[in-house]
Amino acid sequence: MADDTAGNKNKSDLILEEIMRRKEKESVVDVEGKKVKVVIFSLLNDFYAFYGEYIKEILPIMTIYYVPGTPEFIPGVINVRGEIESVINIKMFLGLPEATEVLNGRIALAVQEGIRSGILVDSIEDVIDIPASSIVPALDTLSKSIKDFVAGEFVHKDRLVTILDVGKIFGKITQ
Amino acid sequence: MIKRALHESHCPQMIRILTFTVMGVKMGVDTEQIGGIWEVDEARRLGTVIHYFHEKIFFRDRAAEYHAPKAMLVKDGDKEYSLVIDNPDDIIEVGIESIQPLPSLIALPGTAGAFWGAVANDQGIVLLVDFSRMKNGCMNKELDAQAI
Repeated sequence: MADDTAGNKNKSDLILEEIMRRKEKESVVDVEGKKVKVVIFSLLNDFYAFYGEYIKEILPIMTIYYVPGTPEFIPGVINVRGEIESVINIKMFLGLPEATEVLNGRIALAVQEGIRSGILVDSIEDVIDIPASSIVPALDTLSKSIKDFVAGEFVHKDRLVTILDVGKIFGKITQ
Repeated sequence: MIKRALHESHCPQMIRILTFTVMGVKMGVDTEQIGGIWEVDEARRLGTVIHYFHEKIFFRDRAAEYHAPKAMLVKDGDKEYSLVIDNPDDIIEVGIESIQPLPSLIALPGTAGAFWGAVANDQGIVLLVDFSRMKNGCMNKELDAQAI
């Protein structure tokens, strides 16, 4: 009996251990499974993304009203249902060449820490949730003009996607 | 209560705006800043100092073009000068609730300094300019040099 009790205890211990082990595993799986929303877009032939939490709206290309005195990478302002928003030409900001023809251009309306601005992109490719664990630090081979604004990169449909940090972009403009 | 009444008495609820265009950009100025509008030759004949608008505000690489230039007498404190604009358009009354501050990236110090707000209407966006903020002329040229 004593052995049985000991055996039972051992058994319950074993069961508890197994339960704890499983819970631990689940929590590990949870971490791996933590998702983040990203808005994937293209500039020239490359794919980039913003974290979805900072993108409030995707707008079609609309009339941009030039504001004299602004830096070249801010082509002007737009009227979004009566609200006036600035627009950033992100290619110019990053020192990338202008595309010869942009057929599916969009304006991503970004908001972070109270700063709002539209950001011109060549196209919106996808809005998806990806595992946070799939985001890795960016390669050192990125050009210096872009590297300062990169939050990481991930692979989507066999293509490398570079995540741009909206806060760093706004921070550079406002500094 | 008294403070509130004073505050309300100092803030107009409507302003009269003269709208005009310079190099395709529609702008508006409080009519209280203007002493009159006449032909550029007439302003020269009267001997006022004449500035062209693009000399005061940097238009980046846009070529200076005036299709229907008019000289606006600007009252800036105790000084007066003529400012050449293009296409004076209309005088409209605007309620202050219709005026929006410029977006924060546009309203940065030294960026579009002379512009203090905007009015969006069916025709587009009218930038509100304050001539008393234009004292430093083309200071904004420096900004492009700072761009990445």
